[in-house]
Amino acid sequence: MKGLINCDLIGARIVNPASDIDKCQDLFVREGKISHSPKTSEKCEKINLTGKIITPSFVDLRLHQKDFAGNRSEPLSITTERAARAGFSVLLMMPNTNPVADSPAAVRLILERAQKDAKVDVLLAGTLTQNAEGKALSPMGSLMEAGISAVTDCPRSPSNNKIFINAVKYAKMFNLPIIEYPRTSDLSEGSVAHESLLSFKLGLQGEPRISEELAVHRAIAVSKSLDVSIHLSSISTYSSVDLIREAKRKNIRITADTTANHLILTEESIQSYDANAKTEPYLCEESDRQALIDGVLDGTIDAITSSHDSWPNHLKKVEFDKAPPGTMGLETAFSSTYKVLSDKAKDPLAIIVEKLAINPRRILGLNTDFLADEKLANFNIVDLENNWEYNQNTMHNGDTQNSPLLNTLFDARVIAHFYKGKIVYSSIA
Amino acid sequence: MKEWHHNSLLGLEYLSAEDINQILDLAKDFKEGVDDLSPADNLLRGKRVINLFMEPSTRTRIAFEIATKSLGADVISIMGEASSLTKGETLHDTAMNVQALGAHAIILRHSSPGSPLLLSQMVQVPIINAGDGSHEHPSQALLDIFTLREKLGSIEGKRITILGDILFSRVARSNFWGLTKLGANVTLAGPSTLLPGEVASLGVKVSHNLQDAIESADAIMLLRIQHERQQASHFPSLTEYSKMFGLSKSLNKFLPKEAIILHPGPINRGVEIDSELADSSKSVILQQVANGIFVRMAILYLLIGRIS
Repeated sequence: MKGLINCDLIGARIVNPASDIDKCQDLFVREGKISHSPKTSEKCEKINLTGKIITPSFVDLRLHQKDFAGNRSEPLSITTERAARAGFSVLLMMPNTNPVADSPAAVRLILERAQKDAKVDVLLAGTLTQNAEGKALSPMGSLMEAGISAVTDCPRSPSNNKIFINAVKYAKMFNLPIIEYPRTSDLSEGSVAHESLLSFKLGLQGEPRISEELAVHRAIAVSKSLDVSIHLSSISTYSSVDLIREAKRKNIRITADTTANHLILTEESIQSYDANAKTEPYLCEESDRQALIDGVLDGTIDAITSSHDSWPNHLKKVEFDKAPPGTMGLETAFSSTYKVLSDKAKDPLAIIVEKLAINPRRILGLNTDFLADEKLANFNIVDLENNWEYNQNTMHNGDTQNSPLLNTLFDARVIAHFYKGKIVYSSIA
Repeated sequence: MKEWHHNSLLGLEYLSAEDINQILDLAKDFKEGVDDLSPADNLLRGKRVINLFMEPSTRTRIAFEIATKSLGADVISIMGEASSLTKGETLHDTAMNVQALGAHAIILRHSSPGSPLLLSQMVQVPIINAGDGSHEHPSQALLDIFTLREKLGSIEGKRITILGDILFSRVARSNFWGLTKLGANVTLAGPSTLLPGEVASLGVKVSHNLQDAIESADAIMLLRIQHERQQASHFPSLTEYSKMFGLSKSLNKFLPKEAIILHPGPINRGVEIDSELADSSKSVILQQVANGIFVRMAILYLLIGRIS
């Protein structure tokens, strides 16, 4: 099926909450474009997708590609191949690249490089502050001209309130999505795990829950005061979920995401000092995980990210406190989210599609109408009854293995990904 | 002799009460020089033990050296400042090299919590944790408990107060595991900034009042204020700490007459404990040090004594 751009997809259920579509319908692709009334063609392969589901392709709001040479991240070509296989057609790269995305020259260089290497769309977030140090505003207007799609200091947060407020005020002029990774730096400094009884037992310096909570408070207050949208990235604690729910109830312009890993895992994963479970933010407690799930189900949390941050194995195979935070997440994001939510909602898939495909597009201001006539095909085919294990053999490029979900069994899987009218991944025989 | 089921000694959290008693019983045999362990200097002949000390240590390293030599094994001590680790070599690479040198056991002191577990996953030889960051210091706790058992008869039902910097103390954690497994009633005491509230859920009493914490104790275990681990400010000053949480002469009157005082050393005289009290008949600090040799002999013998 590889390379096929003319096909008749027969019998699939099509799910697109953005247009309120959930029905079984044949879908026709002609020369890469969707056609609702196609001319019959003998050349077209007819593919029976009975029992399978077609969804919009996914958009990831948090990818870390720290370098392009493979020294501190795997090469972008490998990352984006993982994305293609996992159904992600758009990735938002955080600005902690090398060089840092805080100048027009750096932004152009990174985007040029990304365009050359990437298998799917890679967007770039520029920094809010110079070198993401929280001391002076970045040239956001120039960065926007150079091609950034959002602003954030992720995985940092400006500690100076005046700088943060002015950065938000300044970004608002350009209508750039503002993403805040909520951390109170002096409370998080030196930490290597979530602060809890477990971190105490393990002798690891903990990051108190209040570090995130205070920063969420600040973001909500600033959003309200300046009447500006702020997106909170990678929420990890129950206290943040409560604050965001309350803010939304008051119609404050706050949106939020959490990571797929935080929905399925807790701090128990670091019990044996496994640095592959040293995520950013850190994995928290079961009460936090349950609150995040509730937040996803009731709409408090708008999106789910992969927060994919690969590291060469040797950099993770060190003492836990010396290992850098961050783990892989792209290839398991959809499957693990489905595993968590499949029995929690009447229609879990619609919720997952909303969190992985629709809301991220809305937050970034991208088009959500994926099935319009004459549009290039951009969708996934997923199978919810496809038992598979995530391991060295099933992942793309098993050389890098820093995932906390190695050897986990899943039911759901993306089995094909149509990207800009072409098939970038298919396991359909 | 009973079978020993652990390949390494990583912490007391991972041992049962029976395991702990087995080590202590064997330490007692060594101390008393029982016949089937005598002469002890033949027991580990031909074995090579490597002390890999990535953090400064005097007491623990020397006690392990003496224990190893007392059993007839060779001991080589590698200090952090003299090893390749400070030249950027990873723990993994150092471990592989140490194993290649023919070590039968590695005794590791390291600033990173969990590093002995990591090391045990990398090499085939037994690992003895000689202190890993704020995590555990099992041989210290074993010698503390050995001393308590000697002085108090048994641990079951005894009221032991561990006082001081609980947050950063590996000695406190190891003693907590060991003492609770053996049935002691443990009180953890210290300033609220150095004693996380969550520990109450472990079934111990938590106290921020020194008088309350000591007045019915059978033993007080003092912890050293760990200046090097306190990057943040957890108490106003040593003077204030000493005033509020130091075992001063004026507090002596609240101490039960028979209560004993332990300290893992090195002591900050006048901070955790009044200098005279440290030298008083209540203090068993030097006996702890002496017992450390027998406890470590027991650990070494159980781990490598019967490996050919």
